[in-house]
Amino acid sequence: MDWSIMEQKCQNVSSVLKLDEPLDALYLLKQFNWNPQTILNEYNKDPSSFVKSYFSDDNNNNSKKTSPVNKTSLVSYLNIFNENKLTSLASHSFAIKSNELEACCQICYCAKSGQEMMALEQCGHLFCVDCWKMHFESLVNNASGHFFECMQTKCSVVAGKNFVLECLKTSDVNLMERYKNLVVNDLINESEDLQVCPGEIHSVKGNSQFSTPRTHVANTGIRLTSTVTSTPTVSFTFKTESPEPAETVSQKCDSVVWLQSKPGAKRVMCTNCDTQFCFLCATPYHAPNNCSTIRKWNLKCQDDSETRNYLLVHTQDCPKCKVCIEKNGGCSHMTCNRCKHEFCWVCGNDWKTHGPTYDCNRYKGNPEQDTAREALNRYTHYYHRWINHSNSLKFEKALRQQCLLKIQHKIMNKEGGTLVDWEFLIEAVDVLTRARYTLQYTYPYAYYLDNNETKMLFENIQAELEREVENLSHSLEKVNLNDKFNIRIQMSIVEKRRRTFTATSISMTTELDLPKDILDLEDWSALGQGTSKVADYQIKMHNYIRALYSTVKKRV
Amino acid sequence: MASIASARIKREFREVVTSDELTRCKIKLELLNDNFTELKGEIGGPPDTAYEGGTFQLEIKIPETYPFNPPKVRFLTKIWHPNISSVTGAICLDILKDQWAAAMTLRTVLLSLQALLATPEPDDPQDAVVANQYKSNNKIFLKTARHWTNVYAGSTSAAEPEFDSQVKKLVDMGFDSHKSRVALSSHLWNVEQAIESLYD
Repeated sequence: MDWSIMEQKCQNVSSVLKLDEPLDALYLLKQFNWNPQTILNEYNKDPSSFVKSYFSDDNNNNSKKTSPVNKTSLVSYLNIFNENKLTSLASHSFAIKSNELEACCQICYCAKSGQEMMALEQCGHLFCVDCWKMHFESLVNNASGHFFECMQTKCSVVAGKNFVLECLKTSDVNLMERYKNLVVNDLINESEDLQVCPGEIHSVKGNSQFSTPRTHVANTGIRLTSTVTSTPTVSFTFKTESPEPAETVSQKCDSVVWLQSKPGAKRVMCTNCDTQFCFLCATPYHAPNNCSTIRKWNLKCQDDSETRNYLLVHTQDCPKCKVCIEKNGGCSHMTCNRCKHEFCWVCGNDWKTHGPTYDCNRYKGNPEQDTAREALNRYTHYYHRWINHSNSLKFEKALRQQCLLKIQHKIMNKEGGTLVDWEFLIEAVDVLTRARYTLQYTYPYAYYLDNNETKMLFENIQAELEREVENLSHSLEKVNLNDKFNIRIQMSIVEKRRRTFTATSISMTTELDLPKDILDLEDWSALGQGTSKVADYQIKMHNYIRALYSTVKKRV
Repeated sequence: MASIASARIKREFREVVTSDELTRCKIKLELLNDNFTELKGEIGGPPDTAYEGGTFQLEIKIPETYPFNPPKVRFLTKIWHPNISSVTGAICLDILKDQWAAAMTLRTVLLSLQALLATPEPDDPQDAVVANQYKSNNKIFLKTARHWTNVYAGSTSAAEPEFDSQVKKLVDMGFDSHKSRVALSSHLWNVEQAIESLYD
């Protein structure tokens, strides 16, 4: 285990407040939920009274009120975290071993040699090693925190980490691990700026030579998205354990992420596994929904039967020849293998009807049906689209691998160009993945939106994004990859739409003004250079935003 | 683990039974089985309290993880006390819960329980009705506690004859005598309210 987070925090506080005792910094940190920033803020408000209330011995009563932890137990608490000090003082410091030749342990009433007797440095209560071991074992099994007190009556000295681990070294390895986890979990729970990464680490065989462009592209992606959602934060991670990565196996990341920016930032990225997640609830990032909405939605989805989900997600009958079709790619533009009928996977209509009036994202209620069925249908409508995108995301992971192989192939066979020339394909897949991810999370949001003007606008923008996403997806899967120009245009459009969408849905929820850069459409002309398609989009987008902007204004 | 528990109990049992101090304080300990997992304790009510003169029986169960976990103790004798349930005999005492330390013994437990009888902690109650009465109507609380000691714990000192007659009234109406006493005790010996609660 690495306590560098703890040490850094202590140093931070000690250096700013000019504390001589590292213990004082620890004492303050414990009182302020391990958040150095709050301490500094409090201190800056009124330095003299701050020092008085936290460091004067006359005011013991006051400080007790602010925290249930008293100073004596914190003295021993230091042992748990300040590992450096303990290791440097070598083994005798954490335990006093008795010098007597023979002693009677007051716990088991057995005669023991002096070597077998141990005590905590701070209180000196001697008991035999076996009893200490059993004491800690029963505490670990109870799993209520990691403050393990001395066994003596009315003695509240807390055993340090090394003392506990020394006693547990002869027992089960799992117990030691569980003790370590207890300590780490307590620290994380008490800290506002620590969170466990919910991500998974996927290790895939081969293609190692192409791992460099991957990271490069991922980085650009973050820069692109940074303006619309909350500031992405630079985070520092340390690993609780270091499992050996196995081939083609995914395992939980479980890194502890330390938030380096201001508290309250929502989207963070784990530097260990690159997972983006919501820092507040430690689930996959879920904009535009807030934490409670997405929790409600996930609970609702869990309730439903697995079989129905499978059928809904994986199969559908061809609307024309009724052959059962399983979806094998991310794109919703389906072509039946048997009758060559082209239809939309999501709404089942002929693909051609999707052209200018794309509206299969919108739920059209049927007032004739009774309310219970209506409610179910409504939910199924949104669930279907939500799970469809989540499924397509999985296919797009494979698509990325395929593109990598294609590029490799092209370079190997000297079909022209180098890695730099083909990198845009990977970039396009990443843009697609991001947009689809956003799109997926707009469906729970729409499900909980009231039926009004706002929802109409929301669905209009959603439809636009959905159409562009499917276009790009289709181009990447089916169309000739040499059509570089087209793909680049589609890419830019998708990314612009996604950003607009996230920004507008955020301003809908918070009822704030739209960010200025959304209305600044100048850079649109740069990419199209007079293409009529792009110009058309510019005008449409402009109108949407105008309309949206005015409603938002009205509501404010 | 179990061997430590039984070794400890064997030794503690000897300690309690032979100690002079404990006979002075009217404390007894009795083994109920051979593997030292169940015992019966007995404490005398402390002098100058409502429990004076009474003898209170305790059920003591030794967990397998003793002494690293506390023994499970409850009152077998019915008692009117803020920290002891008048229904189940369950005890609210810190050393029997999170403040237990492995160095404590059955002797310390019994002495602590005796001390608890002398100094109730109404702010950390087990029985909310009793605790409320202790705080708001201490005179009636003391009389009720003395009455319960008299009836259930075999004390011979100052009975409360008027309480006896009130209980008898309800018993004559066909109610169980213990239930009647609980109802009356919980309603400050107001007969009408007690009857009402019995009908609920």
